[in-house]
Amino acid sequence: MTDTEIMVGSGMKVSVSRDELVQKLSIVSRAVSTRTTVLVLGGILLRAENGELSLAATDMELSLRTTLDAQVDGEGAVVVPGKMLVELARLLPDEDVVIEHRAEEGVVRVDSGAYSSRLHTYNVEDFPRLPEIGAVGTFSVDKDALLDTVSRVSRSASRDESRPVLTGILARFEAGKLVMAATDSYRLSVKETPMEGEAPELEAIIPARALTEVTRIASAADTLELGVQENQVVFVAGGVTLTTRRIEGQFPNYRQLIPESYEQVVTLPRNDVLEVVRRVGVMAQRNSPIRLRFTEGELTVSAQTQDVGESHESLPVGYVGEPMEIGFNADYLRDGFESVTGDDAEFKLISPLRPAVIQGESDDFTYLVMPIRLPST
Amino acid sequence: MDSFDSVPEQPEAKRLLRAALAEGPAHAYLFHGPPGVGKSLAARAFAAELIGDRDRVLRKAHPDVYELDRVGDQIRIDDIRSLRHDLHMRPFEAQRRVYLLEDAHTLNEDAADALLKDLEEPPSYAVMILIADELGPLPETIRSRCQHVPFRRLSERAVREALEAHAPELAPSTVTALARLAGGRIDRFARLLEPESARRRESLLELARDVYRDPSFDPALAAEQVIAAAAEFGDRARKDAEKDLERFHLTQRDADLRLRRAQRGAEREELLASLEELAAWYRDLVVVATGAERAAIHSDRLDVIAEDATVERLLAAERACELVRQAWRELEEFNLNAALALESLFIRLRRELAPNLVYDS
Repeated sequence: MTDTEIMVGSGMKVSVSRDELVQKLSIVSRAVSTRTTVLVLGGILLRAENGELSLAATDMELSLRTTLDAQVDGEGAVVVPGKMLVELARLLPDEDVVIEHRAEEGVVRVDSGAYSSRLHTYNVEDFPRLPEIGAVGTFSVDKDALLDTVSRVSRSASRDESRPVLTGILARFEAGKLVMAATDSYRLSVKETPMEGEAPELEAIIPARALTEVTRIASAADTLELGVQENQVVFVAGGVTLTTRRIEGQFPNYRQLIPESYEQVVTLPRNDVLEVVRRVGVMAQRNSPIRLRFTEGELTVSAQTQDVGESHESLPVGYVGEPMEIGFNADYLRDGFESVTGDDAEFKLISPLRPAVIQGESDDFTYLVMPIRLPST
Repeated sequence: MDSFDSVPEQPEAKRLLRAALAEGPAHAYLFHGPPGVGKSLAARAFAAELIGDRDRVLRKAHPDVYELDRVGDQIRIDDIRSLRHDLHMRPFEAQRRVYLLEDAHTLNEDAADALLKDLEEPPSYAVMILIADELGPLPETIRSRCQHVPFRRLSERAVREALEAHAPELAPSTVTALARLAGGRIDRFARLLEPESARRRESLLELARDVYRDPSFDPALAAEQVIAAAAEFGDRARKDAEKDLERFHLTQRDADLRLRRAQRGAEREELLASLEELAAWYRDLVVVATGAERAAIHSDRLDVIAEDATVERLLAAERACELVRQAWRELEEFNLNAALALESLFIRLRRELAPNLVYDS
């Protein structure tokens, strides 16, 4: 038996606060489906028991659940059209809202002040069974560390469905640390974060979209719990439970991609370089590369796009050796300097045709980016 | 007793599918055969057995059955991309996840290409079922990557039984006629049983007879009448689709495409069905004129047919039947202007069946 499977009572009846209802609905409504083939997925499951009204929605990929205090005058469950309920809850005239399921009429009444409405319902038995939290159990993780890790790696995840496994973020819990990696095959972000707590060793590929939603629900919460089941991953934060299906497949062996040694390791003032890359990058349009030319003591960043224009800017850096010029996608290069932290960033190079690595001085974050072959190099 | 009991006949398909369930399913299946003979029903039954939660699958309420939700007239690459996105996530609650691709014969080239890799090597939990009315439009690369499950035209008896179960209130003579009009397709029941159906058939048969009886028969008007009847169906299908749309957030473009598909699809189906009824009328004239009343399709109109089925009309009726069938094939296969095609058909029918009746123009 799973969590959402419950007895359908004689008729659910609850009184709730409008503002709280609106706030909680806005949380779960992000998982209401817009797919047209399974109607019940467009609904929100309301369940009243033990002095609480719980809300649940799922789009078959992501599920969100939360609860609010309620005066329960009749226990039971019902599924109502989600989009409709969210819209009307916002507009209710009175702070006191009564929601009552009239099973024999197949409707839910929503009353507030002088306002009264009747919504048609979906069959409760048709609502997907959401993963039961207790079955596998969750463990608490360092919330700030996890959210920071997600925000640092997630932009390297692919948005292209042609390689579905790359639309996910690899999460691996090892003794004392969390490792997350994401790559779209043009760049790779890996972050290792020391983590206190009782996390067992495990590994899962989690959809990047789901982790973005985790950030949303957890940023204001005090704690974050996580559980990994065979097919789903569960996050609990701030009274909200988020579950997501796991991505199936083999994540690329990213450790093989990161070079073991480099020809050049240049320490760059992170903020200055970031500014330069942003400014100069404006002229790198239509897939034109941004060029980094290293000469003795100087870095020149330039970009040009035919029929658009050209720009360049130099700054002093501690480069020693033969001049080297290497090209990148301007957005990917900028993302790299944005993702590392600290005043200085290390820029590690082998040759203009081999990947470059950007690392911050203060933490274990690696950003690897593939170069673009420049004409005449 | 299994979910296949609700599927009429199709012994070969059922044998293959039961064997697959016993031995473990392949990655991908291609259910093929004429429309309306139980392919979708069988696919859902197969999904129910694969997933195990029979009732919920058959009620279309199981989260681990993914139905490809095509937007326009064709299955496009975007539809396949959404499928891919889902395919590589593990099942929601079951051990398996079943993907149903209805109207797989409408896969366009890009979409078919995009599907190839996943058809060859889908994740272990996935079973893909392609459902196609014809194999011709499907590229060999797709066909060769699926196990084929053939479906055949249903016998009159099977259609009759399904119809009786569907509408037990019908008189036996009506059941016979409607079962024959259904042309071996159980998806035609809704059309044959809807309230306006009797009236519409009456006026169509009136037209069929006017061709050889009415001195002032006007082919253009006749064509218009048939098209207007089909347009009614299209409008109704569009309104039904509009009601569905209100529940979803779709882009304006997707919503429009969906409505247009519903409307055009229903219009075309009705037009083809009308032509089949028309062809059947002229065929019945031949059948009855040669003394084989029992084989008549419009078997509830035998008195009228007997009146019209003269020996003198025999050859012309046979040719008329063939003319209508030819028009059906042309409309089915090509994107013709239906009004012109029908007008030309009625002119030829008139010439064939009533060469001596003068046009009153």
